[in-house]
Amino acid sequence: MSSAYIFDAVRTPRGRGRPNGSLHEVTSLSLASQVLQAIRDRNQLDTSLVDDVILGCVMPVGEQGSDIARIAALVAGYDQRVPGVQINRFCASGLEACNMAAGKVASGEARFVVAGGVESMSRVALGADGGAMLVDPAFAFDHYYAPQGIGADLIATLHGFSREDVDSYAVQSQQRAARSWAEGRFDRSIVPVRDQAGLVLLDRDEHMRPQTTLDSLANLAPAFVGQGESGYDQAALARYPQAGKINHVHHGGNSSGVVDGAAAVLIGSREAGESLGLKPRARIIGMASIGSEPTIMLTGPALVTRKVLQKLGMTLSDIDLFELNEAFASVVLRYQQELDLDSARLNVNGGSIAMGHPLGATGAMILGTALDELERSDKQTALINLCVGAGMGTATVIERV
Amino acid sequence: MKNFSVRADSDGVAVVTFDVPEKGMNVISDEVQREFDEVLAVLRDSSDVRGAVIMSGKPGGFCAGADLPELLDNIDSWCALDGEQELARGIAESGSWSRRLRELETCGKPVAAVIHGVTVGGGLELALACHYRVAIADSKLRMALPEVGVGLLPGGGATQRLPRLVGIKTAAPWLLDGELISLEDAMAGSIVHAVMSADTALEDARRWVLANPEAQAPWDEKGYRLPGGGPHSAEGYRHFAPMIAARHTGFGAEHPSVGNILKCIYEGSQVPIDAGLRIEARYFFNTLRRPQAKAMARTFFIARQALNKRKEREDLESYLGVLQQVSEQEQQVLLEEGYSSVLVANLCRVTSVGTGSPAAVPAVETRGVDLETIDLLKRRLLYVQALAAARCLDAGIVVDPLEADLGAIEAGFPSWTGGPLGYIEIEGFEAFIAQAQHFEREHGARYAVPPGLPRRLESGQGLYN
Repeated sequence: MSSAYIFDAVRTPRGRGRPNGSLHEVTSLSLASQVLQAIRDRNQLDTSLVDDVILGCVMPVGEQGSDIARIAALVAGYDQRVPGVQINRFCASGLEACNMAAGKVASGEARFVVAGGVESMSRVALGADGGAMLVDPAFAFDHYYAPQGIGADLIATLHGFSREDVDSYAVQSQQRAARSWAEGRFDRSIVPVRDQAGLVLLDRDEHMRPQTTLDSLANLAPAFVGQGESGYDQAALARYPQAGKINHVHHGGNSSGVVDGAAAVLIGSREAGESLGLKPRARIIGMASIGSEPTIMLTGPALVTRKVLQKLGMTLSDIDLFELNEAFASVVLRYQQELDLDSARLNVNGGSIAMGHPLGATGAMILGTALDELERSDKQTALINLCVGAGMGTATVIERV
Repeated sequence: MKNFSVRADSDGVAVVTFDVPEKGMNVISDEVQREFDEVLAVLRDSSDVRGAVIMSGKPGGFCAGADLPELLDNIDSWCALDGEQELARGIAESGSWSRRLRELETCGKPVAAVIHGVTVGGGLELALACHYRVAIADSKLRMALPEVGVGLLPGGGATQRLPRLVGIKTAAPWLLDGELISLEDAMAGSIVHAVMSADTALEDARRWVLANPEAQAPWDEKGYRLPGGGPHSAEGYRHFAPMIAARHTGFGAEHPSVGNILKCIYEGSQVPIDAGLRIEARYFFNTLRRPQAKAMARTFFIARQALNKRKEREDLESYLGVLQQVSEQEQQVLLEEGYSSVLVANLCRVTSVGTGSPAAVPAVETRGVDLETIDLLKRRLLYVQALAAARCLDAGIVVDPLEADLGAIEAGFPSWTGGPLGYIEIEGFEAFIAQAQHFEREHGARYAVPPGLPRRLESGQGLYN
């Protein structure tokens, strides 16, 4: 087996996932094809050498349906011999796409794969794909389904994170993201989204609220009380009788933002890179996914982190930077607590709480963010991971070359 | 026919009177089912019969549903089935009432029901398979599907026809809680089409039959749509999804039929009625074969009925006192082992006789718990009580096992077990003894198996003889 290398990573800025968002007038297909074009053009990539395009997309219905990866590759002007596949591992889809790409490269199936993801949450709403998870009693009843917000609040309850704890984390995410933007730390990866005339529609994450303070967050009402009362608290507490009562602490300000965006990562073998004179930026040295208890749903990160490190024969101290998607503040706080991580090594540029979480794309976005940060701070290794719906976790470990 | 009389009038309307001899109330036995085939044959094959009105000859009501003692015997035989052929036969047998009702509904002629008084379970399902339902005014009409309360599910089509009549949101509580269906709700949802006095109801039904020669069920009409939409609709996601979660009340997925009723609704509402009825039959059979269903039916039907007839009930005070005492003792042990008082109180709530929360103890470091641990702690609490119940039976502190089960449940023991002795049966006699011996080695003599248990196992006497 040969190694898989990352040659480049790009992402769109994240637009507010609402009708007043700057990317609302851009189709998902256009978002996806713009990042595919950018990664091609920046690297002068001969797309006939791309053996697959893998895009994560979590709501693959409506305009995001019918294998958007293949359609986007064609619309982006890739060689028509380039196939495409859309995949869904919920919130980790973008990272899973990269892991699958790395697998295809490592196995020798592919020379280059462009992996990434797309999600226009303003155009295809969360939940649009339905699914058995919510309403088929064979799962929902027998396995005590509760939505992720309930899981996030349950994590806070079980591990003693107060409203102030989660809000403080949110403030930190905003501050870190604002500083990173101010210092240009995202510049290398950001590809502005353009209209049909080539005019820039968005060149900056617009979900951010850098002025956020503990006081301003204190005014927000918890978001999942009603959901809990509708029945889901009961299901969660039947599963977790030790919780007693769920402390609902999450709201829009300390949860990941609803946004639109896309990302692409160029992954390939060393030989393929050499054939085009491309210099690899990092090597993908480890990948893993796990399943965890589905009711609480969001406790996968520590498990998948341990699994991938164990496979690599590494320890936490071998990793310079940790990137964990900020799905909810409690998810990150619990990860930090369970692994006893120093905050200075974790999500150093902020995350989805400040900048938003375009479901299918986020994994690829934060992979790129970690890579940029390794280079900027001249560090070697990063572990990127996300909590995943239905109780899963996905992780990737990269090392600069 | 002993149970039905069929009298065709000059207009060609067959008046079918359901009247089971030597019983105060109509129930659906195997014999009733066989004779119902003859009724169906008359209806289908007699060219001078243009339709039918089904009514009851009993003053107390239309029909009380399945002949439960007989059904329990059948359940025993269905539980013993094995292998593809036998299982297929079991589903066919247990689904026979549903199949006959579908034959009635699709016989090609209009059928009306005149209902009064007790119209529950399979009796209500019979009425629902008719095309038109008249209720007799002031007849103490009681419409309900109480199956869930005895650990069963309505297997005569109600999980399919009720949602198709009134929508999932309205039908679900009737199916899942066994709540009475008020006449007002029944009228609003076409569960009852008309209310008439005792002397005009039959005539109204006859007139309807004559006026509607082409009658068919709404779901057999072209273009039929489920009221309120199916589970995979906006309405379904908004209401059905959280309703599933809200069913985790007290028990989890241990209840033998709550989950299966939900599955009948979910799966059945996405396919045509005939497929829905086949799905219901499969879940009905699945439910019947669960040991919890048998335990619940024994306690909530057989025991309750037997004890209602008894003039005096046993004095259960000392017996229940013993159960509560062992449970409280076990809770104290769990606290001392380091489990949090919140956890122990919540486990006690879903496993134990008595409502008291455990005494507060000085803060001990709470142990981390996972699902397996919680499951084990629940079983420890159930085991100490079940063992205590068996000890009481040995010692004559309680005499009648049915009283022991029902009394414990009325005092807070979880209903899905059918009682502490029922729980031993659910676990399996031998497995229970082995697990108790394991607990005894791990946790001490309070888990000692009383000698009566292995004796009853070896002699084949069982717990209830």
